[in-house]
Amino acid sequence: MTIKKRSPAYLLVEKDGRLIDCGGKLSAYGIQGLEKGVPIGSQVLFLDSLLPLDNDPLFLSCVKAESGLSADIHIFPGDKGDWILLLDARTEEIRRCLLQQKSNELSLLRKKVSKILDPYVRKGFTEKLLQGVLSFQESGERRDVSILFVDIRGFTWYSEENPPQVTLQTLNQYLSTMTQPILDEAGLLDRIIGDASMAIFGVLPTTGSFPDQAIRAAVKVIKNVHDLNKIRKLDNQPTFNVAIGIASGPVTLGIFGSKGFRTFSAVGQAVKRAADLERQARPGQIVIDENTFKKTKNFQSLFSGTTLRLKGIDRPVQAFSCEVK
Amino acid sequence: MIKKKICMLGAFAVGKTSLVKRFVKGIFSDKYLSSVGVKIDKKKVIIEQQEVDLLLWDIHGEDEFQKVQRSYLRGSSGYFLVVDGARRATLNTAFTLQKRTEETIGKVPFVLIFNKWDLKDEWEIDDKTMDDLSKDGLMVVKTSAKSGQGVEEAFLTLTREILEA
Ligand SMILES: Nc1nc2c(ncn2[C@@H]2O[C@H](COP(=O)(O)OP(=O)(O)OP(=O)(O)O)[C@@H](O)[C@H]2O)c(=O)[nH]1
Ligand SMILES: [Mg+2]
Repeated sequence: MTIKKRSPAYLLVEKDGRLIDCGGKLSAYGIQGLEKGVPIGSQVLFLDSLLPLDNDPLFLSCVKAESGLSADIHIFPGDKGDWILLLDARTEEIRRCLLQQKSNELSLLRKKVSKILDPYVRKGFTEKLLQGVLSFQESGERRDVSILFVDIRGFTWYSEENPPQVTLQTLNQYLSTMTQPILDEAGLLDRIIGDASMAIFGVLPTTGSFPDQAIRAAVKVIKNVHDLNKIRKLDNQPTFNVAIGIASGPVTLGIFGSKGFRTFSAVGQAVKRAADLERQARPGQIVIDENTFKKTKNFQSLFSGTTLRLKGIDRPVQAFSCEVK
Repeated sequence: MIKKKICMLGAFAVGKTSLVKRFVKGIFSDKYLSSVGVKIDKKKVIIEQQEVDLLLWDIHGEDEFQKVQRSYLRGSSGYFLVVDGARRATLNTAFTLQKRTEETIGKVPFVLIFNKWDLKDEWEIDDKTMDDLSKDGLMVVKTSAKSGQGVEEAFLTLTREILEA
């Protein structure tokens, strides 16, 4: 859009704060009856704290004051004083508003869902709410998803050697560093069974590609765990590594279980495969299946091919692995 | 007339706009309308017989894609760091913003607000964390923009600190 269409207006303000000159469509910004020679701070609310400039120009986007009209404000130093240029920012405001509102609501929703579905943080939300939030039938819907399994290696042994409080505290520390990246990538934490968790990507509405999101979450999980380990080492506490398996394909989504314990979950080959791959992964390693590899647009270069023998399958299976540093 | 600029800072949807609305207009709405850019409101308060005009800069929430511009902070006499007690991650955002603000405008008074006190059953931040923070010397206030609890106190506390600074 050209400047002219953006209702330009200007002010020139002396270094001592008094208005020297002004012009343009000031009324569009609710600025009226300006008096020259009078301090600008008392006349234009939002300029009060900004002037005088030090030397560097200043830019503030989408500022709304009395009138309610959103303005981009450019302030730059000149010979006579500071120049203030106002431009209508409504187009930008609407664009940002649409994007931001959607993505913020989505984040809040994700947070809510994680509270409902994640027994680790669950605090008694109702199943009704759950069904309102997710749009599929109880009878089950088939959908292409990516499934991620993550396991804290060596933790079972640790839990047998230590008192429950210590175990729980340590587990909580690891789980909370692991859950956030999953939620951030729009992953649905399906269950946390002791020291292993499963997440589904491709169920919550997002714009991203879900195999990419699963891999990005996995990398972040391992990095977060590395960071946590650094801190724990400083405190002379034992550290753990995690191993991750990811598989993609069609699964059946739905609410399963009997009346007493009903839970949302996914059932299918991909779930089983992801669990198998996770078992094959070494600490600090991500192993993905061929489907995920083919579908990931951005991360193929991270992985190298390998063949694995999985339980119950006679011939070796093609997989891809990545070591996260 | 004394004028003081105060910025509302925090993650998205913690209740910055709601706190300003409650304080300035005495109203609250459950509907979430995310702020774009910054909106400036004015409110007169009287502290020890002294009239102060507060210029409240209600800034959009900080997130990965939309960082708070440093230029908004210019000339602030103080600021609020607003946290949603039911979302622990918003406390980290508050600390990030605190750091950035101090780098930009130096040390000025601020108050840490734990908002949504009316939802305390769902809170992910416990009393101990809050106590520890106030023991560390931070000014901490619990508020509910919905019920109004603590809101006036928060604004008056910060104004008082600013006048004493
Ligand atoms: N229950 C409850 N809800 C609140 C409270 N304060 C705000 N809310 C709700 O939380 C949501 C977000 O409030 P806003 O005031 O828009 O939050 P914000 O920090 O200005 O958000 P952004 O502008 O996006 O950064 C709205 O739905 C409000 O109704 C509170 O004290 N209690
Ligand atoms: Mg707001």
